[in-house]
Amino acid sequence: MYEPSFPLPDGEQEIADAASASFERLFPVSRLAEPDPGANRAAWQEAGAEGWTYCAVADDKAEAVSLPTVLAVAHAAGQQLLVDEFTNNLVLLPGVLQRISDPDQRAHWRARHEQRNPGYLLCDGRLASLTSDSLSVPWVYGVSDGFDIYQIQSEDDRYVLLRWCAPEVQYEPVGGLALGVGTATTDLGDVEQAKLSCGPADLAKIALRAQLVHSAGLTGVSAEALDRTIKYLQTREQFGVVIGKFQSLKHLVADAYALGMTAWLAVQHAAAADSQRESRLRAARILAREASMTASKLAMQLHGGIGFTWEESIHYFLKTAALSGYRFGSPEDDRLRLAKALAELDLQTRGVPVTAGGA
Amino acid sequence: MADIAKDDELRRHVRDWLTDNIPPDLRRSRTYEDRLAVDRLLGEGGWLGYTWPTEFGGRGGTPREAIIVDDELARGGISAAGSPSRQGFRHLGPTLLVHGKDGQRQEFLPRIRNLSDIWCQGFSEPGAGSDLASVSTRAELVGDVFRLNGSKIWTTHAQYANWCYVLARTAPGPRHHNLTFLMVPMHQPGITVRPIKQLAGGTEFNEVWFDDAETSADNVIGELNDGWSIAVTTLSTERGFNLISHYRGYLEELGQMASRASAETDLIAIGDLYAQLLGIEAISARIMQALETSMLNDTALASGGKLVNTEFHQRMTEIALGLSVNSPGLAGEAFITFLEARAETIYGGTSQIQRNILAERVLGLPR
Repeated sequence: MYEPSFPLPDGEQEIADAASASFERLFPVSRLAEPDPGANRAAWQEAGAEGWTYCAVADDKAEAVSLPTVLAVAHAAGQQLLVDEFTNNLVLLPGVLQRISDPDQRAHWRARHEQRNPGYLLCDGRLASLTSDSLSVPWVYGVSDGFDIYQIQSEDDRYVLLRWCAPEVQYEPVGGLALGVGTATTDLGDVEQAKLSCGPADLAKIALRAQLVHSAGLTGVSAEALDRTIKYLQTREQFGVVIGKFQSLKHLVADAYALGMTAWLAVQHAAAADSQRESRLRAARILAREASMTASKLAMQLHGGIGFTWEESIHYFLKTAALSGYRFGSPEDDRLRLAKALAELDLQTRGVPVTAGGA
Repeated sequence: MADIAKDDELRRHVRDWLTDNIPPDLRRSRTYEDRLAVDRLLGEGGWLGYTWPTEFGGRGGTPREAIIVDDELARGGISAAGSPSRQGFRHLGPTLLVHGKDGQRQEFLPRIRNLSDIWCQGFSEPGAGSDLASVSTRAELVGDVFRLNGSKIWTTHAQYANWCYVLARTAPGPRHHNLTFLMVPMHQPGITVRPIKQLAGGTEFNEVWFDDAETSADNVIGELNDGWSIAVTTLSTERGFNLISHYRGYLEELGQMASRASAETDLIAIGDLYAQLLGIEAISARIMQALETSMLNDTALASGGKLVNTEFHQRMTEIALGLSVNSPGLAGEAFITFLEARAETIYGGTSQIQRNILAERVLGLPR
């Protein structure tokens, strides 16, 4: 399915294509039918070995790929329903681990994350920042058995990263459905610590980047749900014709497509924005969530009865959209904040900035 | 990558020029006479046909610069909609630049730029709206003139225009290969114009009858019976620019709504509109990038953009009306805007046609 995109920086389209192909190969949607934590961890190890896990983080050895390229890969990973794990392991954790003060410890922790054990941060979603003084987090995203758990704590003006290596976790997925979203409890023994050399602004920056990458993933969910639906409409026959001929169905698909296209361009444009970046990010989040919900609900409706079964994969799209869409806050809160930002802009104004934030 | 500093310089230049040259009372006026006065001033200032080559009186500007000019005009209260010069310099001019003969360009482009000629578009007919290729107005070549018979409808500003570009049937052949694109003088006995009073009271649209109306055979743009491909160029000039040039005005209207609102439910509705509008801004940015190198030939962007933009604006005007009902000073304007916006999902290809285009041409669903 063709989708308009902004061109990537010179030379990065090939990188995006290669990374996208890897994630498609390593994390096919079919993996969700019978979750295998060992295979999942092995897939992440391979992604690390191929250099993708830390591709967005610059170090001594290599330049980081640009944010637009990470978004393109996130969009492709989203098509495989790899949204939360991707955000955790390509953005949040590399971003935080790269800020460990001690170089040896940083290299050691990074090596474990990149080569052996993916993980997730306990506090990254509903809280405004990545930090928390409490470990009682009711809702986590991107959980899988055998993953390491990380937590950032503040001590005076400094931050400390805590790590529990593959602890035993009692994980209760939402609704009993294994999608990596739910409540995780553990006794959290044997904790390790690493000092971080960063301030709140750095963490906020990582969090904003993660939210944008997450939104790119949701637009991938939307695109794939729609693509599968189009293929179904092109082959399923009723009343002696393929049902894709019916205009009522075409128009529903066209509306969902226009919304998905808008969301995907908004996500990319937010990455390039130099003014009102937070508003553009919030808008991208609203649109991406709406696009993924609209497309996956439509996919289920237009697939008819088969879409409601476990054997047909459509339900994974709806579940991912419905749960991951709330990861970084409620839609109402986003809308309210956007309106307030707009009012402020209007009042400042005729304060509309001189440059309209072109790409 | 665009040169932001250069963009800013142009923006400031346009703003300063507007401040010095366009009286404030003319800026938001809706009357034809005032809009014409504004267009004449803009023409004298060199802001119309900004991208045209300098030999035809343009400035040889880039599409990006033209968009910045549009954006600043909209910001200064001068929206592209309703401009008397619009059909000439936005649609026919670019069409002539692509398909016109040298003599036609020399003759018509300067007259579009200085507003000696006001143009209207003779495309839609009572029996050919969404299905434009089925126009039935006939043009018969008799000697060295074409004789036209038939009627056109929804012809914006036909009552003021002295020229009309017309899509007419000139052969019995198959669809898309039987039409010719003609320029026809309006002031002649064979043409009758009847303004159509619209739901908001205005008479922007007209019905036009051709009864043996004539135009010279020299006034064909492109080749005989190849008018459809010329019309496609004209229609494509409407895309992209229209979307982008409306963005600024919508942002300001929505900003004022946000400033006046206090109830949380109203703010949530406005926040949702703002998210949609920032999505439209992203589409505009992508279109702007595409226009840097060529005309817009991305069907998904053109049709998707048109669909999203017009449906958004109708929603916005509806919410604005709801928020204004208890403010007598605002309700009248909000009501008129709400009513007028109803046309946006009909003209320039209805929302239903855009959905068909997306479903069939972009997504590959069967016809």
